Amino acid sequence: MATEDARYRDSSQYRLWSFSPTQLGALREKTNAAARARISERLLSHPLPTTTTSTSSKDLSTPTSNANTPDPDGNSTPALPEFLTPPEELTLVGYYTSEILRASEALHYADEIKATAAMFLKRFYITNSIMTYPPAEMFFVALFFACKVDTGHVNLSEYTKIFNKSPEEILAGEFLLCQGLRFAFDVKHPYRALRGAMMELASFPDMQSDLKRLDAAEARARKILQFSPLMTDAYFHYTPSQIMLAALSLADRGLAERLIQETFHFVQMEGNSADTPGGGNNGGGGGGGGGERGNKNYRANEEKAKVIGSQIRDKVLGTIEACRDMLNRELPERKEHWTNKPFIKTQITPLRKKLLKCKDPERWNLVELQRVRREQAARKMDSDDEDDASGGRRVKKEEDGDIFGGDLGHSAKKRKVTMKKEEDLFGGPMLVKEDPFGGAKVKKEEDSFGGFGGVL
Amino acid sequence: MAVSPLVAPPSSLTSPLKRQPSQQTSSNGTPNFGTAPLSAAKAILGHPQETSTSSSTPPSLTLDPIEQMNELEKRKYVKGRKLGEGTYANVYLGHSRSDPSALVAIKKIKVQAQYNDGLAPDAVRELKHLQELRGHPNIIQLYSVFSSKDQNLNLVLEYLPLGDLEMLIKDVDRVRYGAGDIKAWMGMLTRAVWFCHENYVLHRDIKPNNLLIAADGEVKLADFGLARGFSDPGWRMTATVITRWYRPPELLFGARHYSGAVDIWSVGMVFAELIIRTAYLPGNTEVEQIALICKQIGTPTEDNWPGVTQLTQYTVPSEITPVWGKEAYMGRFGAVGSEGVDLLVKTLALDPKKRITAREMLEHKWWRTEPKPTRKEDLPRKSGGGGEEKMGADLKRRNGVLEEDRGSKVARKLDFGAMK
Amino acid sequence: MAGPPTDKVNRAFPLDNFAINNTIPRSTSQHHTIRVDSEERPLPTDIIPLNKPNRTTKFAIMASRKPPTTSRPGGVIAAPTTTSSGLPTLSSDDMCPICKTIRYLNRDMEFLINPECYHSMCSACVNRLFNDGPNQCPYAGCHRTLRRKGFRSAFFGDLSVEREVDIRRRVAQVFNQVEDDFQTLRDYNNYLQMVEDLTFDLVNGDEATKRKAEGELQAWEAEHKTEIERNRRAGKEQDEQSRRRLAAEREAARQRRLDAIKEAEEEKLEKIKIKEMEIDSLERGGPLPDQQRVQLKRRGNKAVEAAANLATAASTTTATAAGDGVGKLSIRGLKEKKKEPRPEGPYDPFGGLDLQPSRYKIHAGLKHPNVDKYRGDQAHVTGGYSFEEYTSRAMFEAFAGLGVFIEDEKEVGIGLVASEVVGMGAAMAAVGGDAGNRMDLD
Repeated sequence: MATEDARYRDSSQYRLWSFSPTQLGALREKTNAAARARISERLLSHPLPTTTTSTSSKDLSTPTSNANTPDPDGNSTPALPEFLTPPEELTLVGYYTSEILRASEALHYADEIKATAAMFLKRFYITNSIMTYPPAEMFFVALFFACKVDTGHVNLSEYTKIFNKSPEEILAGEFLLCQGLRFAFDVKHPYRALRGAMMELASFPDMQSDLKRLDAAEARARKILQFSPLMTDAYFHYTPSQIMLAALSLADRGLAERLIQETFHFVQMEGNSADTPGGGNNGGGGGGGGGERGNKNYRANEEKAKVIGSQIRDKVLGTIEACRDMLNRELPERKEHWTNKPFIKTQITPLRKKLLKCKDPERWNLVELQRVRREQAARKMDSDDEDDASGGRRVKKEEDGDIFGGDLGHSAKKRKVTMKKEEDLFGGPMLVKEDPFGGAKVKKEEDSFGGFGGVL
Repeated sequence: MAVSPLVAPPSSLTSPLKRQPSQQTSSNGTPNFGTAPLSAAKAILGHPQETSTSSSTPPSLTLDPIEQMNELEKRKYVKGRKLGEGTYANVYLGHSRSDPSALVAIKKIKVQAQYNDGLAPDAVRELKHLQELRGHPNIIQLYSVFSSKDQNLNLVLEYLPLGDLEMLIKDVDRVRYGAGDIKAWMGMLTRAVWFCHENYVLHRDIKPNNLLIAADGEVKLADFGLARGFSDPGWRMTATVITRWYRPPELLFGARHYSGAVDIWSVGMVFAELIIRTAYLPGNTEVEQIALICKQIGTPTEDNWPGVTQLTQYTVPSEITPVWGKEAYMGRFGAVGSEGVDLLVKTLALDPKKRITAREMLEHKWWRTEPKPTRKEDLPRKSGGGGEEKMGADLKRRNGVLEEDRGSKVARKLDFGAMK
Repeated sequence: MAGPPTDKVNRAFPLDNFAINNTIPRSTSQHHTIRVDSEERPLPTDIIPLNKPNRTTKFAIMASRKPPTTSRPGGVIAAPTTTSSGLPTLSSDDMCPICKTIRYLNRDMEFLINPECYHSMCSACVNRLFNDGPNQCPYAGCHRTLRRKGFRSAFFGDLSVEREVDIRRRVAQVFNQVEDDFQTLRDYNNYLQMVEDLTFDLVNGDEATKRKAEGELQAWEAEHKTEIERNRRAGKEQDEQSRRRLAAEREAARQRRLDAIKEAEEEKLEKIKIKEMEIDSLERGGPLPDQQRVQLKRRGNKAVEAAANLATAASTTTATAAGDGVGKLSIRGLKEKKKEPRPEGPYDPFGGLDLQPSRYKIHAGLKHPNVDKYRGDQAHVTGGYSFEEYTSRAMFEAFAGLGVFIEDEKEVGIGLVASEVVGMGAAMAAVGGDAGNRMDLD
């Protein structure tokens, strides 16, 4: 096996974020179905009027008409909205992906960051339904987090200024996003690969006279890579090198094929070393079998054939061709399509309206969700520790309870705690005490939060 | 011909995944339901304690699929006693729920603490790189990640109970070791760095207390909180990385375009420290650090390092010390033999372009000269325990910071402005 | 120096035994940091009188190699010096070089040598000099500390042969791996070559080479103590074991009415055993020039026998359980033997990892205008930015995963990844179906 392939298989992109088309489709269906079921249940158990009074979010400020949605079955049970179908979800994700690309282009972000942000959003909405978490919010979160991952950091306040968002709005979704990404933050892109391919091509002696052609092909391929694979599912079904070659093939089919021909070639199965030096490219294995003879050499060649032989070449060609077809559906020229007013009016706006009706009432407001989660966490503080705590530990908790309980009581009185305060509340006791609450305080907490479930 | 080397070798005691082969691929924080039917999961979720709490709690947020995965992943491990506590992270001993003998370390990063911009960059970097640098015996393994209720990140890491190299180096009275042991440790460290560099990752914080020791004696490079991928030409990186004593001259001089050579310098510093059993160049300030380098290794000048005077923070003591030759090192470092000293000197080239690379290090003659590297099982270890606590302390620490008792704190100013 | 000088003292320095300590001032030179024992105190001179009572005349030699300048009390007298290359030969009419007694005067005179240095002297001298405890070899220029019990009469007239025999025996005891312990024949041959080189150094090398070789030998011995012991015991117990196993096997065979097959097996094993014994005896007493060859032979045979033994063991256990055939099992035994952990071969600094690319080569011709424009940039050059690193990364990314066919692999599954995806889907299905039952955790 080629080390290059083995190493790619070790990447999180392959391990966690590569699927066959069937699998990906099935996953999306499942996510959609799960979201429908849960949202239905939530809508039925939490009467909506409460929801609207509980929040100040602009998302919810337009009074939802869910409750008044005509019930198709004519039942007297609280009516359920019409849900988005998986293809509709996909269309919306596509739309927000194009928005990410547009925004990051306006900000002159590097290709890698743009693409990472786009892939973060796409990955997130594979295991999370767009009906559960608002794409318009997650979009900023994905972009912000992509910057963080690729450059180490981005200044949050600057970022929020650009997009006119509050820090809370960005940060509220960050952890959600991480979880949705299965805590794998590395996205492998085809941009550097394109550079490598061009280096290789330029090193062929006969290409020296044709450098203009190479430049043109690279420019076009890069343009394709900046858009097409991100707007399709290419990243899920193909490896970066395959995507790169598919883009190159769209830009200049001859060059892509040349590169493949030079990489994969006939390996003689008998006798002496099969290295047929062509363009200085082949047999990277280092021509290891020098002094060995006969059988061993045969086996080495057999192994080599598996890596660079003609059989695998045909398979690679087929794969690249399939990828090419996929990219061809979303060429960079389609960029306009996604911002085209009539298109948005006829395709996107109705979907968004529909989405607002079928959104998850408990999850849609990220800031509120974050707040509730934190309060729950504060109540439960280190539930993990508690789970496994021995009896001895429990005694200690009792002692610690006072300080913490006091804090919580305070916060509970001020229902509308600000983020800042909450952090203090949260961070404070954590630093001082390792296990900061006793049973009695928990109860008190619960009492004070008694209404919350209903509120949400 | 080409091996498939990156498949994680079954590690003896640590892997809780080993016993459930179908989970091996999912050690990223999301579960894999292949072996855990949901009914079983529910049984776990319906933990008596949990139920009692939930019964008295008003209806609250239902879990999403992804959250249920998280919950299942979390339930795979049992968190035990605390090994270390810091403002940035706590470290716990843990074990697999299904196999209590499979120990792990759980590093719980306090997401909200001390950082207003969300998830701390250290945690992001560490996760990003540990997810990809898998399967190498000399790099700490990340088995799983999950989030706990309070939105803290929990990294389930390889359990490394025998402390770190710093502990062994410092305990002059009780720990004795020789050239074979140093060679074995250096081999493991160099392989770790080589693997990082082969995967285009700069570690940027190599030092003895980031080199943790597994139960079988294997040294593991840990703490990827300052790591980053190799930058492309034209992209600036921050110069304020690597704990000062291990920081190479190009970073001290403010270079923004550097290479794997920065890690190699650190490796050389660790090598020297292993031999003389005290930090080789323990500067208290950056100025002092540069002065120490000039004195002990030689003054960087245009002659030995063309262009160096143009680096933004180039300042050296007025008295120019010529670069010492190998012979000068023989006295103090001769314990590792002539070849060993040769290797050491090559890691300490002032000009990073002339510094040996990790691959070249592994091709060096030293490994093949006597004495042979000690087998990892036979390596000296510190008696009397304390290893777990050391691991706890190492893992909870922020990156790039010297322990207070070892020197004053490094001003931790990372420049993230490279983004465009 | 506390305690009597140990054997170790007069051997060459085991290179991996020195202590490294930061209490040593920087100026101290290397040989002060390398010490034979764990003493920390630097020793100013090369000769230190022992402070043990009753031994006022005993000396121990420390790290320095300076030759003694004067004659010392305790019977060190002018004695024939020997060249480093040759040792004196014994002849019947020799005279004791120490006390100058000649055989003529003492017909029972017996010459003894000590394998520390192979300097011969008469038994009377040995008794006189060494009965009170370890003492220095009386030959001028020889600083070995010898003990009474180390002396024996030489087997060969030529002491250099005697010495070589001893050395080879010792080396063979330490390097007792067999071919089967190695992954490839090549590794094994390398190993044999190394052993032979080491032996040659010990036999024929000059003082420094010898010392180095000795150090290596000791290091190996220390490092591989358990393996050596295992191999040694394996060799020793083999006869007894195979005898026992054969008996057991015979019994089982009779019970299972597989006599015919069993007998054939026994015959085979017997043959191997006999051969093994022959070879063993050859090795123990045999003349030396053949030693290497004999060892080679023996190793091969031992491997066969080990396999056979395992097969027998397997057959006896499984025979009682299931009454299986025997012939097949011997093959399985061989395989199992191969799976056993083997003593490490030569050290591989790369830890067995090969990350060399197989589809492309990194060469100087790989260039790109957008990269090259930085090659002359001072900040890149001075900071040590590595364009090689960038090139190798770009090339790796261009070719990595080219042969990874996600659809196939994820559907059919290489390994367990596909199941993971399916599992994830299944879980979601379950979640979907279960939506009515909330899973409240709080």
